[in-house]
Amino acid sequence: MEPERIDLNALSMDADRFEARVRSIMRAAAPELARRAQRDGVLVVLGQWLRPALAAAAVVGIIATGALLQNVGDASPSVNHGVAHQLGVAEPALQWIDEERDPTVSDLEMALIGDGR
Amino acid sequence: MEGDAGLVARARAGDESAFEALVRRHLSAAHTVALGVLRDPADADDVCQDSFVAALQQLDTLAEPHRFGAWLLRIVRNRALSALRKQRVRAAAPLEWVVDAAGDANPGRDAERSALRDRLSAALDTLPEHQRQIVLLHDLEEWKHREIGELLGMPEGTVRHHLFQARRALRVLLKSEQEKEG
Repeated sequence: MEPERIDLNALSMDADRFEARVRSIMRAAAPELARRAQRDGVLVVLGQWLRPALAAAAVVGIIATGALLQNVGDASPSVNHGVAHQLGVAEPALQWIDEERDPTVSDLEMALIGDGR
Repeated sequence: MEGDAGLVARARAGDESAFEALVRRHLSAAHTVALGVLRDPADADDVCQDSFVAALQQLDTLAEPHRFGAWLLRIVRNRALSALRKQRVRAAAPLEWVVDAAGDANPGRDAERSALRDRLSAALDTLPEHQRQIVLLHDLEEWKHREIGELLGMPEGTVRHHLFQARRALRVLLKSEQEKEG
């Protein structure tokens, strides 16, 4: 049979001593706690800045995509030509793009020569 | 009451009140573990303080925050053993277990408690370190056999055996002390 529990309560810390130890540990831990709070503060600021920036980028992206889709759908040949010029598409190529036909060998030759200039 | 996992998460972010809550929750057990190894309350205080600060510094490496207590006490025990090895090089440590608090309200009761403390301290000093740890953690901190086994790295049955031996030895010593006084 197991001997009865020994009453060791006389060895336990009294309240004053316990409080003094807690204070002492907290004093020793203060620099590390401050370092952590500062580190997380910087992360929070970055997070606060990052979220609106991402949201703004998403909004700009959505608007741009919408505008692009609308332009592509409604685009007149002249508008397409403007875009094509901006993109540097050779003039002869625009003809068979406008006519919505496959290029012939001479079309390709013209486009390549045009590019080569 | 907030669990250790929540407190650890907040302490990781530098929340002072969360870390203080962890200190209050585990200080007593930490001190008992350190005292069980070192036997000197002042040395145990130093090891406890260093261990809490070290635990805070390493808090990001704690994989299971809900097991903060067990993790902390392993740090305490390792540091206490390391301090003991250094102590052995120096002169023998004093054997007083608990320093009296200043400003006691009841001198008669405190004197009685102090005498009892001295008897217990003397009796505990005769035990091997692992038995001292086991009986302190079980009978003072009310740890379960399994928890003590996890901390000390021994099977639950071995813990029970050592607890049996420790209690029997303490009872014999305390009884013979009483008979001498009586």
